[in-house]
Amino acid sequence: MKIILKYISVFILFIYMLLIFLPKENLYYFALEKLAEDKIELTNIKVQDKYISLVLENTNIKYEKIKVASIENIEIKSLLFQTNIIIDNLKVQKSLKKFLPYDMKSIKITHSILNPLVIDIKLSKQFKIKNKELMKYLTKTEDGYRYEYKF
Amino acid sequence: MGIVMNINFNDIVKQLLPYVVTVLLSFIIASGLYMYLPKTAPIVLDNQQKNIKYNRYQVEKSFKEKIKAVTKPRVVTKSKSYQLINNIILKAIFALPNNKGFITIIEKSSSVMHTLEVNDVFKNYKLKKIYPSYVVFIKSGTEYKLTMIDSKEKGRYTIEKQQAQIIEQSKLVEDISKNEDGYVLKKSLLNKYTENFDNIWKEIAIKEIEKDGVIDGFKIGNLSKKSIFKKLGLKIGDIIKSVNNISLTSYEQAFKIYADIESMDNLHMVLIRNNKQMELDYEIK
Repeated sequence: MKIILKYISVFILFIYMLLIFLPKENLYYFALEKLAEDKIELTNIKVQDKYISLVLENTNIKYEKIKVASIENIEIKSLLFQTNIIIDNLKVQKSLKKFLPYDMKSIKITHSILNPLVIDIKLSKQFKIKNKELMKYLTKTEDGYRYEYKF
Repeated sequence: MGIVMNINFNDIVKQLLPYVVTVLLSFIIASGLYMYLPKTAPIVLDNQQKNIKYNRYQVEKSFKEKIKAVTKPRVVTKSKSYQLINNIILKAIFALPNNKGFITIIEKSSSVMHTLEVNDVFKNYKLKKIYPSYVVFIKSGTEYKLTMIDSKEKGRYTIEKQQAQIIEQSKLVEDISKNEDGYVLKKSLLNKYTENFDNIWKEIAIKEIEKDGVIDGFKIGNLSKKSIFKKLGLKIGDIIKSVNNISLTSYEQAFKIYADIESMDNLHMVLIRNNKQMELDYEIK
């Protein structure tokens, strides 16, 4: 039993140490390169590596050079079995407000290894989805809308 | 006593060793990853245009003062100009498809017969178009229509003056007015489009025109009869090249113009119609 506990503790330590030492800023740059291939551009005024999380401040999102939205703060945090992305103060460009909610206080995206096929998205503001194209992919549940996509 | 201390120390090292190795191992893996990953953010080439934004300088707006118009005595200069209406007779038209053919005219004063083709110039009047029953001359932006009313009544003709303007007076509506400086467009007219992006596509269909793989303007494919675009003077087939000095070389530029509509005081459009460059100029109030 002692040995098993020792192995578990070593494993947990390994994961946490890896998370701490991980070059998160560079990983973010790598993600930016991949997004740029799909014409998605993210520009930040400040990128901060905070041991187990990465904080992006004042992010502008552009698609095909067209500014789509701006986000005041994004925090990407990975905890052993769970990854959280917390987006604060998202403002979509006025011209796109027909398709997306114009301004939102916060969005929380959660992914857990225990339930790998589900990504949980929580929005601080409820909004009516007007776009019929988008509705095709959403099914209404008791909690809200569920986005279904088959790989 | 000293031997016991040594054993305890060894035990501690033995206990901690796997943790230390784990920390080192994670550090080595992270370092390896660091070597592979990019060190800086990808450089995005900003190909935005550096053209100066189109702005019509308005003294009244700048100083918030009304400036009195300077009244100067008008100097009328009389100039002798050739009167097409009085001096020529359209004798014959030989019209072919694609604006080809020739016409025969007789100058009254000299009774000399002249044969002209399209683009030929006669006394500063350029023959622009040949139709089966009439011809159109152009002189300093003004079109002159020379008609053969009845072939039996030789020598009778009518001339109608047509201003080569983008907007005909009859098409002017309440929302677009004309003043000394040009055409004035009501800002409220644009609200419909700024409030809802979709309203644009209900009234106009445009398609990008590519030249050497780069967008070189947007061609109007369809236009609703009651739309603002029609009122502005746009026509199906027009290629919009630039708006307010922003060349339409990408969707980004087109979107930028749309985003700036609310703050626009002027609307200056450069377009290609029938292979000729034209300009539309409006003040937005």
